[in-house]
Amino acid sequence: MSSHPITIGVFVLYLAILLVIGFISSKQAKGGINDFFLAGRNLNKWTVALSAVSSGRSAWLILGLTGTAYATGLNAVWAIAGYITVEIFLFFFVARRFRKYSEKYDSITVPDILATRYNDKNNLLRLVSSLIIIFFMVAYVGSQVVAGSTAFSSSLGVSPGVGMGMTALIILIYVMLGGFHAVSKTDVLQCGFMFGALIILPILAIINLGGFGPILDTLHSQGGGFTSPFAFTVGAIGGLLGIGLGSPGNPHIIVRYMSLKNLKEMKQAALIASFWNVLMGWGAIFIGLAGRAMFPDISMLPNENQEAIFSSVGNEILDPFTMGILLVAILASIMSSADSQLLVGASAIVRDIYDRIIGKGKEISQKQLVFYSRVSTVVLMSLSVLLAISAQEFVFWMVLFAFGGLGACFGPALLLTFYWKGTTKHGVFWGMIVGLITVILVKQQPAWTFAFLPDIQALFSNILFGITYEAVPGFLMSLIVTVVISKFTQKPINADEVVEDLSY
Amino acid sequence: MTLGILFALVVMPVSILAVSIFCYIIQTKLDKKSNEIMQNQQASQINQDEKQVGGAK
Repeated sequence: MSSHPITIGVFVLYLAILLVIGFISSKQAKGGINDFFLAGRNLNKWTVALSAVSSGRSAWLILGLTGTAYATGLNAVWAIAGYITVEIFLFFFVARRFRKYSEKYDSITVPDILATRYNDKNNLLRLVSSLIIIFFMVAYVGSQVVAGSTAFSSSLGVSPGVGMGMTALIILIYVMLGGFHAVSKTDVLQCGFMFGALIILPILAIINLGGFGPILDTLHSQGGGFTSPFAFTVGAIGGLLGIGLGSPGNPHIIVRYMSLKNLKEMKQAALIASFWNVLMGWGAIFIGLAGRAMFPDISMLPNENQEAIFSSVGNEILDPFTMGILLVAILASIMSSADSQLLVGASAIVRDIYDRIIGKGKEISQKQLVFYSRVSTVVLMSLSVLLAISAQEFVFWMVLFAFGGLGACFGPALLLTFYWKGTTKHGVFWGMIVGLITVILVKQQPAWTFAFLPDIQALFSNILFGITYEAVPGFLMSLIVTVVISKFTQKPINADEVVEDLSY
Repeated sequence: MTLGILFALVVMPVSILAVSIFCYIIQTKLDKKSNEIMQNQQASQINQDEKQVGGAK
C-alpha cells in the first residue's frame, strides 16, 4: 500500500476530527455514568441504527468478508445472511424490551439487567457476567488494535508498534473524554467512510471492469463452487449462518438499543439498520467478486493474502486521494468496534464491580464514578495492547471466538429474561457457564481434557449435521441448560409482572 | 446468469429487506394494538375512579 502525502493528509484530518468530537462530547458526558455509558438515553434513531451496525461489524467486514468472497465466491453470502436476519428480529422485537426494561430499572449494563431481573442479592450473576464481559472485551479490543496497527503501518509507513500505539491512543482519548456521546457520534462519521468503502468501491470496480459480465465470466471460469451458493456442505452453511447467534449476546451491540431517546422510533431505527446491514454486507461480497475478476489468481495479491483484496481493488482503480479515504474506512471500521467494546468493558468494571459489588450501600458521587470510568478505559486499553503484542497472529480468530463466546453466554439468557416468565437466576447462571465452556471446548479443547472427555467438536459436529462453528453448540447448550434448570428452581416473585409489562 | 448467482446476489438480499419491511408493518400493528390496550386500561381506570368518587358523595 502507499504512503502518499494525500493519504497521510486524509488520515491526519480524520484523526483530528475524532479528537474534536471527543473534546466536544466531553461537555455532554458530565451528567454521571448514565450519560457516560448510555449518552443519557438521548440518541436519535439514525445515530442508534448506524452505531449499532457499525460497532457490530469491525474490520472483519471490510477485510475478512471481502477476502472470503474472493476465495470462495458466492458461498460467502451465508456468512452475512445469518447475522443480518438475526439482527433484524433483534432490533424490531427484542430491542424495545431492552430499552423499556433498562429505563424502568435504571440498568445501564447487561449485568445490571440480569441482576435486577433476578433479584441477585449476593451479586453472583453480576460478578460472573461482568468478568466474562471484561475478559472478552479485552480480547476484542486487543484484536482491533492489531488490525489498527496494520492499517496505520500500511498506509502511513510507520512500524506496526507505532501503528498499534496510535490506534490505542486515539481511541482512548476520545472515549475517555466523551464516553458514549463521543463513541456514537464517531460511529456515525465512521459509517460515512464505510459507505464509501463498501458501496462506492464495488460500483466503481464493476464500472471499471466494463459491467458485471466480466465478473460472471471469471466466476464461471473458477468452477462450480464459485457460481453456486450451495457448494458448501450443510454443516459449513449452518456454521456460517450460526454467526448470527453471536448478535443477541454481544453487549456492545445491545447497549445501543438502550440509548434510544424515543421508544416509538425503535422500529424506524430497526429499518434503517437493516437496510444499512444489507448494503454493507452485499457491498463487501461484490468487492470480493470484482476482485476475483481483477486478480484471478491469489498469487497476484500481496503476500498471497486474500484479505488484501479490498486494498488491492482500491489501488487498482482509485487515485491517491480516494485511496486515502478508503484506507481511513478500514481504520474507521476498526475504531467503531474497538471504542464500543472498550466502553462496555469499562462499564462492567465501574458500574458493576466497583459501584454495585464493592461499593454496595455506599453513596458514590456521579462525578467520582465518571472519573473512575475514565481510569477504567485506560486500564482496559493497556491490558488489550499487552494482549495484542503477545497474540497478533490470532487477530480474526480472537474476534470470532469473542463474538461466539458472548453470544453463547448472554444470548439465551437475555432472550429468556425478556420473554419467559419461568427463567430463574440459577438457570441463567448455569446457562452462561455451560455456554462458555462449550464454546471453549468446541473452539479449542485443551489436550488434558481428552483424558476424561471425548472430542467435543466432533461430538457436536455429528449431532449438528457437521456444524463446527462454536457459537452454535454453545448457544444451544446454554439455552437448554437455562430452560432445564429454570424448570426446577424458583423464579423471582415479580417475574410475571415484569415480563407482562414489557409486552406493551 | 445462473440460478445460483441470481439467488445469492438478488433474491437473498431482496428477501432480507422484504422481511425487514414486513417486520416494520407487524411492529406498527403491535404498537397500535398496545396503544389501544393502554387507552382502554386508562379509560376503565378513570371510570372506576369516577364511580368511587360518586359512591363517596
